[in-house]
Amino acid sequence: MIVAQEHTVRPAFSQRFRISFEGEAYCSVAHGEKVTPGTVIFEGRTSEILQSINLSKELGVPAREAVKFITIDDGEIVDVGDIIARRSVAMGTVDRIVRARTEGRIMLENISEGFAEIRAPFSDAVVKAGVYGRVGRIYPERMGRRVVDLEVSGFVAEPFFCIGESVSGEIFIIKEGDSLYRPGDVDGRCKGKVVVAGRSLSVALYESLAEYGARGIIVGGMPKTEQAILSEPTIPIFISEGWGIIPINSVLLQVLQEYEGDLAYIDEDKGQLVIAPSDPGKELDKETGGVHPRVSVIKLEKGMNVQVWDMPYWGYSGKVMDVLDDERLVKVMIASGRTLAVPDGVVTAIADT
Amino acid sequence: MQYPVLPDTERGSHLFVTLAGRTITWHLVRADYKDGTSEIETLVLPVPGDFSVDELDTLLSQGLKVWAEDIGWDLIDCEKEICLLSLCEGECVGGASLIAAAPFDIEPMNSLVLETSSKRYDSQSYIDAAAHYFRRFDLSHLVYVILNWQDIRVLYVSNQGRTVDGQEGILVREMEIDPSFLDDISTSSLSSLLSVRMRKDVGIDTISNIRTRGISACVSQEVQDILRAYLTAALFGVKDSRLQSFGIDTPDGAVLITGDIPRALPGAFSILPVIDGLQLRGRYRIAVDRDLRSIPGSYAAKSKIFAFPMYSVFPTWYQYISTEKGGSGREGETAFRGFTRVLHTGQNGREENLLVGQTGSIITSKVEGGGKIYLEPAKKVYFPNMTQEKYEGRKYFVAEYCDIVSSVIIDCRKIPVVYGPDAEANYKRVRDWIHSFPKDKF
Repeated sequence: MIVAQEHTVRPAFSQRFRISFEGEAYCSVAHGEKVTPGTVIFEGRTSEILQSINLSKELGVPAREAVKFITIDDGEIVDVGDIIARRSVAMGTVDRIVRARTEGRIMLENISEGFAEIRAPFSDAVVKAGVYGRVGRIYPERMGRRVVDLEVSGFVAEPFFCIGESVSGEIFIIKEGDSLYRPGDVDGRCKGKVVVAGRSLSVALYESLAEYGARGIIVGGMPKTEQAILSEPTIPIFISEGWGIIPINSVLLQVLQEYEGDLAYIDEDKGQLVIAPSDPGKELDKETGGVHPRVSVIKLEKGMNVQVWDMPYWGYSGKVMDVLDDERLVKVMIASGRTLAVPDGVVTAIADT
Repeated sequence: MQYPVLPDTERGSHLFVTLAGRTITWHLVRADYKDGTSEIETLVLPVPGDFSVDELDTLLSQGLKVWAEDIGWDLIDCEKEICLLSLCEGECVGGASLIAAAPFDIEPMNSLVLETSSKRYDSQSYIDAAAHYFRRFDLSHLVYVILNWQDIRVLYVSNQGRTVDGQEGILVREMEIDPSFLDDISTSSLSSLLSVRMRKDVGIDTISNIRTRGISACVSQEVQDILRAYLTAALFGVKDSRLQSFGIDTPDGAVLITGDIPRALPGAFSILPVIDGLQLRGRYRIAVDRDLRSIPGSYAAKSKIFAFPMYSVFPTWYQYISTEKGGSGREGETAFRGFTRVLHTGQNGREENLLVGQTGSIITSKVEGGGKIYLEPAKKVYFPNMTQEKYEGRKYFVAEYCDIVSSVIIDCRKIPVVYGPDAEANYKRVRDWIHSFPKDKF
């Protein structure tokens, strides 16, 4: 039984891994220099995001109109409870008020998308590589931002859909990363991390992740109707499988679980996720070389990982329990333990890394 | 009507590789000149939407190796990675053709078998294919429907009424549905066309996923139904005055359906949306290419050295007959009585397959060999585009069907065909229509 095999996660070398710094920074490395996880890339002063507030939602107005209701100036220092925005509704009888939930400095650079941020005061900061690699390109400072591209060995995954700016951060997985999660499942551990948020991203879950300061989001699916609402997210979203509620495929999830705590880079320009091991013991075997092809052709056998592309288990991955060549059926056991008997034409194999 | 079995070639077999939409198809055509037979082996595999041409060579050679092992070929490697496919006792593949539809841009692939040619398949190619099948099947009018994941087009072919370069001139009119219209349908509710209850957001997710990824098969009711509804809605967008008269005053018309989507669906789920979406009524033949052969088939026909038997591109044909607007009678009442009569038998024709049809339903009758269908309509029922004959003292509406037709489909649904308002209302009627279509070779 011949099927296509997709390499959803592939070992890769010399992949771009971008490190950025917002604020005044000095770049401590030179082009071509080898780096280790402890190598300092930037030293400078930065201002950490403490909270991101969805003014558009809080005020009940389109994103582009949120700026009309701001009551403070950009850069102003606020205390807990200070009024940030106010909108009169019901013919002036009721006010919708948005207050600061933490103290810090208000930043309105994303107000056109309906968001305001409260940042910590400037402090000295050091950004380390966090990965093994080599310094590629060093960019000049632009609009208070410094960027360095590293070339790393790691794993590469292409998204079904990716939106938002490129970002790097430590991988954090909510629980096991393979279920449907709610805003209440998010906590302070997501702060500054690239969060693996399970099967589906709702607007409510996104807002909770934004509130806790997540840097990036990796999910299996997202309802298309929710994506229409989050058309310009401030936190990049990497959707691995499709629209709707779809678990992240078993091979990618396994890699994310194994490298939780290591760095990932959502490269929106190139349309890929780069996972870079920080432990020398986990470093890729360089003899494997290059990047594996994305698609190959194989004969299906027991024990292989597959994905099913038919309802109601669209995108679900599992293991082949049996191959019935005469009937052209494949028995697949998915994560829940359920066994499906599906025609060979609706499955694709997923290669192990 | 006779179709050529043997290719006009000295070669025993030829390999066609088509890269179109989100699939790669390998068609190996083998011809036996002694027995006068030919057969095709086909392998269809999906590729990612942003598939890189650089990855193609590796994928092609790998696919051939795995396929050869699976169906028992002897594959002989040579300097060029893949060279000869020895099938049996010295027979080998005479050549290979690589046909790539836009946006792939393929240089001649020298790493494949002995003789390789490559061809880019684009909009003009569809027009050429339509013209080719129009002539090859000796039609008076043709509606050629290409149903792909990202684009849908309908070509209408008719005689121009004058001779060009010694051949009768033909007119091909192309109607392509705006991709943005297809995107709008994907994100709108199809509830009035669906027959399976589905939440609106689930429906939108499903059709978006399928259109983005493409599928080569599906067995779930939900996917089959949502694709049927999507195609019907999409084809509603085709407005052309010529289509209104197709089947009504066209002496020998046919509808040919091909593309990625028919590949994934049972035939009825492609045919019904074409009939209802384009609102084609009257009398014409229908055939579906479910194996993505019409692309290489039309390309091969232009060259005299390639083997590709035309009958295998559209192997199964149906004769479609319907009642006309304003002449359908009351729902549930008897619409007609009739029978089919085989013409070419030793017994000088015989009656068989007595038929009775009801207004509001579709009736199918299997036939074998060429013949005639005789219909005696009830009061207020009228079948257009059929001759009237007397047979054994009774008047009948008569249509002849040729020997390639395997079933006759008689559509007595009232016009306009009504869908909706929701899945519950559609459930029984659409299911009945779908199940009324022939099951053979679907």
